[in-house]
Formats: sequence, C-alpha cells, structure tokens
Amino acid sequence: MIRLVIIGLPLVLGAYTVTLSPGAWTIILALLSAALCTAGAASRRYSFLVAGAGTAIANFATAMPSPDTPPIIWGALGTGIGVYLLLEVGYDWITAFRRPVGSRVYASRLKYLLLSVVSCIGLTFFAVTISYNFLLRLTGSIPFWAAVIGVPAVVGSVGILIMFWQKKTLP
Amino acid sequence: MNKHFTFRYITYLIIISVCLFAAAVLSRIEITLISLPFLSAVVVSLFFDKTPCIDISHSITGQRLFEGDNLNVSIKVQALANAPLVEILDPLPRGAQLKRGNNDIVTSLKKGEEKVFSYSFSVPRRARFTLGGMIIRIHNSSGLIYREMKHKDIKDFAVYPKAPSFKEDIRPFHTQVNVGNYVSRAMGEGIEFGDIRPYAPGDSIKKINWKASARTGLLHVNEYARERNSDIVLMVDSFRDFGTAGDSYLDLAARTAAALSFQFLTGKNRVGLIEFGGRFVWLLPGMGTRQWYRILENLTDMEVKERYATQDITAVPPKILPPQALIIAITPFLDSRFKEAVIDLFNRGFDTVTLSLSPSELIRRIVADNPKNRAALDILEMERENKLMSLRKIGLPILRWDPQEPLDLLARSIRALQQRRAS
Repeated sequence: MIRLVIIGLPLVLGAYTVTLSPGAWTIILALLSAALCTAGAASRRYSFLVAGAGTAIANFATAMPSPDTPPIIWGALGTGIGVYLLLEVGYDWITAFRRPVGSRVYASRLKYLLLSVVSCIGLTFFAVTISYNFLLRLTGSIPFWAAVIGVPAVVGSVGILIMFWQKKTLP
Repeated sequence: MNKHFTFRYITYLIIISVCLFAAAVLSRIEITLISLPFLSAVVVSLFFDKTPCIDISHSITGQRLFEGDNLNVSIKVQALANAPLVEILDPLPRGAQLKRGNNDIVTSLKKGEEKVFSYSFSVPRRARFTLGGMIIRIHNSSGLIYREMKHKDIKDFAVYPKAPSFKEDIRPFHTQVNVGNYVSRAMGEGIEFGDIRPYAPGDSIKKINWKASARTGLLHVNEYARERNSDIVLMVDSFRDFGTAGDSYLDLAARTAAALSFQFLTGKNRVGLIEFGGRFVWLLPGMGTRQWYRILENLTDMEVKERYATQDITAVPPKILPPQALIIAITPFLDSRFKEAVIDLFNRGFDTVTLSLSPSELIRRIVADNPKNRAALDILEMERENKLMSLRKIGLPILRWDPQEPLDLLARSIRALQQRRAS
C-alpha cells in the first residue's frame, strides 16, 4: 500500500505537470521522477526519493505558464503538499519503521502531517486574501543580487541557528 | 539524552532555500508556495518539540542456560511525559537466534502509561554474554527531531555446553574409599553378595548363612562387597580448535566432557577437570551439583589461547590427580605437548583412557572439496594414524571418538576397554 503511495504520488504530480505544459521534456522529467521514486521504494533508499521529489519540483517549475498569465497558486501548493507527503511517507517507510507498526503508534505522525498541511493551506489563504499583491510587488521590486544571495542565505542561516540552538545535551 | 536533527530536516531546509531562491530569481510566487508545506513542517516541529522522559527497566529469566535453551527478556517502559514514538533496540548477543517477540521495539506512550515487552532468544554455542545495553531513540511527532540515549542495565549470563544424556554406565578400574555406586573388589559393608567364610568371633548373627552352616556342620557367614566411588579426571586438549562455530572441536569436546562429568557425578563419584592448552587450568575433584556447575563454568570458558611459555603436566598439583584415578583425555592429537602429557600420566600408573577425534572430518566441512585439499586431509589423517599407532604400541588405550555417534556407544567402548584390562 505504502509502495503504491510512493510510486503513485510522483505519477499524479507528473500527470498534472504534463497537463500544464504538454511537451517531451515535461513527460521525460515526469517519468524520471516516477522512476527515481520507484527505485527508492524498491531499494529502500531515501536519497532516491529526495532526487525524485527534486525532479518533480524542477519539472513543475519549468512547466509553469508564462509570467503574463495569472499564477497557479493552488496547483503549486498542491504540488508542494504532494512532494512533502511523498518525502514524509517515504521516510517513515524506508528509514524510521523497518517493520509494520500499529495504527496507534502512527497516529501521532498522522496528526503532525495533518497539522503541517492544514497550517500551510491556512497560510496560503492568508497570503492570497491579504498580502498576495503586496508580496508580488515586493518580490519584483527588490534588487536582483539581494534575491540571489540574500534569501537562501537568510533561510539557511536561520535554520542552522535553530539547529545549533536546539542541539544541546539534555539531562 | 542527546538531541539530533534528522537528514530530513536538512533536506527540507535545502528545498526551502532552493525554492525561495528560484522564486526570487524568476519572480514567481508559485515556487515559494511549493516550499510552504516544508516551511510549515519545520516550524510546527520546532514549536511542538518537548523533552520526553521515560523510565526503563530490563530483566532476564535466568543467568545460566544451556546451549539451545530459551532466555526470556522483558523490558518495562513507563512514560513520565508524552513520548509519541519510541524505538528501543536491545542488541542480541553474537550468534543468538530470536525465538519469540522482537528485540527492536517501536511504540507510542502517553504520559504515565506503562508497557511491558518481552522476547526470547536462544544461543546455540557455549559462551558468556552481557545483555541490557539498550539504545533508545525517542522521536517527536514530526520525525524531524529525535533524542537518543544508551540505557545500561547490564546483566551477565552464561550459556553452558549442553550435555547429551546417555544410559551406559562407565565403570572405573579402581575404586576409592568413599561410599558410592560401584561394587568394590574388597569385602565389607554393602548389599551385593560377595563370598562365604567361616564364622569368626564378633561377626553378626544376621550374617550367618544357615544353609551353608548346616551342610558343613560349621558356622559360616556371608560376606558382602563394598560399594565405593571413584575419582575421575577429565582432561581436555585446548591447544587447537577447528570446525564450524557451534560444531567446532572445542564445542564438541565441551559437550562430551559435560555429559561424562554429569554421568559420573550422578554416580556419587568425584570428578575433576584439567584444561591443558593455551589456558592451563585445573579443578580439584569434587562431588555434587556444585562441582557440576564448576565444571560447566570452566568448560564454558574453554578456548584456544596462544602462549609462548612452555607448559608441562607436572605443574598440576598432586591433589588434582588422586592416585588410582581414571583419567579420560579428550584430544585430536594435533599438539605433541598433549601427547607427551598423556604418556607421562600413563607411565605414572594412572588408569588412562584417551578419546581421540579425527580432525579431518571436521575440517572437511569447512574447506573446499578439491583434489589439493583432499590430499592435504589424507596426509593429516595418515600422520594422525601414525601417532595413534605409536601410542598403542606402548599400551596406551585409545578410542576413536566420532561426535556423530551417540555417547552410549562411546561409553560402551570405554566399558569394554576397562573389562579387557580387568580380565
């Protein structure tokens, strides 16, 4: 069942991307993504799943309609959620639980997954209804070099700071 | 308890960074939205991360077991705070086979909840082990952060060699002074009829044989054979070991020595042990269950240890080798030092029986079957035959010991050998 989810999700994402922009490269990337995920499920290697998820994101990014058309917000969010679920379920199956676990044991994980998905959908609602236009204008207005270096640097450094702050020996 | 971030946490940070970077470069809000579930997952995991606290205790059913017996292990876990996902790994000893349950536990505990997990395993080979060095990993519900600790509740246990049972009785040539199960050649107190002799002042009236007295016209009394025990010393050659784990020469020798010592101890005899090899240890002959466990402890530790110091059987204290003791030597005759020791004991007048195992049969199981190996094993066998022939020439009793055969056959051979010597 879980293998079907791991193999099925990239296929669904690929099919959606192909409907956005039908073309040889989109189909090839969609198939490559599905093949990588299948390889990950067969060999129980998480790195294959990460590569498959990355390919699915890249495929979606290249297949997006031109900037002149209205943005496909819910499609992008759906892709993000799909890739996120693929990596979560795949991780649990491949790394965390090497044998079947009870539904009660898995209940806390399902709660967390639901909370993450609901919070990101809520956040998108917030972004769409209140600050979408503002954010779009702001993104277009900042200098190119600041976007290129600044954004990943800020996100990465914040993540690393949190990691070191939290990583301490507890009694 | 150390806190760790999983590989997934780093993967998510990379995905978020790349997406935001691409969104900024391409000025497309959609790419930002792809990273939103990952950002949400990271934030939620950090927000709901709490320090778990669990109490673990570990118990085993016994500290001694025999090869192939099951040992039950139970692990009690109590959560003092919520522990959404707990993984407990209690590593099994080397070579152990899981029989029931699982030593790798995955569970979820609410605050105050207590759970008991049990599993059992068996060890097919004699050894000493330590259990209770558990590795505990507690994940938070996100799975992005986990805490790991090592819980040490050390418990030592020993796996003794299994003693195969046999019914045949081995009767030593000489008996000692203590009461036992063997009918002695000397007359005295006993229940086995021995002889009739003329009445002497002081003889009990109960012992008068009335039929013989009536026939001869003189009073005659019955004599009874004494029932005495014997001293047996088991001597095991541990200079070399060969064969597969669990069925190696030393494993088979330990099992046979255990079986023989059990048989002799149940017959009220005194049994001693000499391990002559890399480890040169001896055990004073003794009786009873305690002695049986002492012998098993020594047989469990029996191993090959390379030593450069020369060892001599004369170093064994006289108390260990009582006069007229039956010495049963178990050896493949691969090391000349053991051969010399057996000859020395035989020349000193000890009642010696040697059980000799052919090493080529055990080695044949682990080496490739090709003409070169076959020739090498044939040469080894011929050299061994040569040794045995030279030992037989000096009168040393040697029996071929085949581990595949039941011990009853071996015991019968020893008995036949003793009977031949007695006649």
